[in-house]
Amino acid sequence: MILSVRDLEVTFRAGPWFNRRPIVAVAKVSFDLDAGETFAIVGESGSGKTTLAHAINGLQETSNGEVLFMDEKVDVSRSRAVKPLRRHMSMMFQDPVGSLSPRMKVGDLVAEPFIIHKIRKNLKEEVQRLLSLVGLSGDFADRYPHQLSGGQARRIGVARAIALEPELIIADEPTAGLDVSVQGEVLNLLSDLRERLGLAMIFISHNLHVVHHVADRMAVMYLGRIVESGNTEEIFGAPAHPYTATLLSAIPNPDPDKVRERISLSSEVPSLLNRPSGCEFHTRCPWAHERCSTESPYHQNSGLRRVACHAPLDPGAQPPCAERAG
Amino acid sequence: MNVLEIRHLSVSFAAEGGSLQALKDVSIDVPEHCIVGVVGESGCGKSTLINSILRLLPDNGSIDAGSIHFEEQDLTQAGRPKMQDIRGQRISTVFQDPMDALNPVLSIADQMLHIQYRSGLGRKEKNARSLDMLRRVRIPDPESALKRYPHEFSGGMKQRIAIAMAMMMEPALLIADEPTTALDATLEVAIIKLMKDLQSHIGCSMLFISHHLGLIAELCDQVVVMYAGEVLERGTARQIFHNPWHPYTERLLDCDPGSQSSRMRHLPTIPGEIPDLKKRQEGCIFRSRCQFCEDICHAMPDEIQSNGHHVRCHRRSP
Repeated sequence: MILSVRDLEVTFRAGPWFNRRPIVAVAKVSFDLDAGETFAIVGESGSGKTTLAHAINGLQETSNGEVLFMDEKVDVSRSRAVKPLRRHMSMMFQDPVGSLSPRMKVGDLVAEPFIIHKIRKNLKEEVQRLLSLVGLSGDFADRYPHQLSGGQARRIGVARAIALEPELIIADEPTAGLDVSVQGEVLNLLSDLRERLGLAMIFISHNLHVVHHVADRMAVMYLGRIVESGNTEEIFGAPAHPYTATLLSAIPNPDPDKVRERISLSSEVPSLLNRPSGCEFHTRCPWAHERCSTESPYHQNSGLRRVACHAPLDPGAQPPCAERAG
Repeated sequence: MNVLEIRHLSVSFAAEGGSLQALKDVSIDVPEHCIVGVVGESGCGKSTLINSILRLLPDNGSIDAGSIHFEEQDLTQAGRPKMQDIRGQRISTVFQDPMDALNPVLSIADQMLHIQYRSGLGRKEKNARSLDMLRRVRIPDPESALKRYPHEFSGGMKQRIAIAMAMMMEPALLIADEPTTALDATLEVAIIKLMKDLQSHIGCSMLFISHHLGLIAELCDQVVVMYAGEVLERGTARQIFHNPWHPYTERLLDCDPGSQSSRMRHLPTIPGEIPDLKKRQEGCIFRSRCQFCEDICHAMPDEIQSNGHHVRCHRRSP
């Protein structure tokens, strides 16, 4: 096991000074990650995916729980202790161009990790090696970020992330905003490197099609909680939590004749300041019954599968008020 | 009857190091009550197409040839006042980012009032129409929503308001430029359903621009495939998705992870890059990336048509 997250909680404070209220952005999240494994985290915006990634990387203070990476605790308050850990755990941020300094040349950007961690190497050679590893020619080293396309900037992000040969890469929406053909290239690159370097990866995405192809295991987050986790193939085959089923039914299929049965949600995502009682999905769940609004469900385990629901769905279950889209 | 008929449209930009041809010989039809989807990767000229229709090209852009027929007039010849009558009244737009489409310092009620200034109605009637429109896009508690400002709404709600504003004048043509890219999957579904309902209710046509193939397949009646400023293929959604003729369309469909039902470690890609539009090569524009490229491809292929399925490719030549 390379990473172990235990009951992790991240709380923000919001509101005017006389009425500060806590917002629990990540609530009691636990999961383990083995070396070489790819774990996907999916959920809608505001579900706490990015906050969770930052907390794992030690970029975000946590209010409860712990993150153990290679048997060492990631503790933000001791930044000196976190820095050597980051050598083995790198991050790919969401905005490919925004995460590169506009004042630095690509060559300097790719060499930066070596300088930060004081690793002496022939930097010029390393930069050339890394650029060719991500499929870019050597003369890219003299360009500035604004001269790159989205796909090229993403490749530079990958080069920076793998520069120090980490054990774990946390990729936050690595393909958001890319064209489908370029998206394929970036995903293939990541999967090649994963095989060659034995990387473990946390893959954050809201694109479920991509997650299906990339991840070994996945977790679905809703309002900062993991509502279902397990083997990717099994979850796609038979989602047990109504929220997972809803997300899966929302993917449009690129075939005009295969318009699928849609599970439509009645309302919008509730505010984190005002969490619903009981099961937090009950306000939108088409299957909800009385018990759901009062009692919070516990995680039920069956093998690798964990579901937080009072009445997990049977495979192929249809919602009580199915609606045909289109 | 076509609401919009674009014929042989060519648009170029004066750029550093020569002129850049952004659109070349583009022909598109938008029939009445029909949703036409435009797909293509970034840089294929989708935005230039919209800006040409609305005549909002930047100063260095010019329409070199071709015509844009909309409601019995040629928009390429229309003057400024004419275009101001058309924009927002007869042709309206929903943009990608709903925050950019709304004015942050005006309340929703004020903004919705302003866009009705040509309607000739009184203030009370205008407000009643705003309220009715918000109700139609299913904004909860529309009375109080009118008094609020854009920042008080979530992304999905803002996009609903933007759609309400675009549909308010009951335009003949709605141009939707990636309207759901900034939204989550569950919201995307709701917004698409809403747009389709409103479109059939008002009876307008829609030009739907997206790079999301799944959405296009679900929403559109007809599809136009663009690449590097040219239309490579167009036809009905079924023709394009079930029986693509152009190699580019075929490859593009393969690239969508959604079209692969079984799990695969290696996803298909289209190797190579979009050619430099400043130095357009002679012949087929997709030639440099096409796996079927032959000598004949150095000459420009003619457009071939059968049953409304148009394609520009030598492999289809008789």
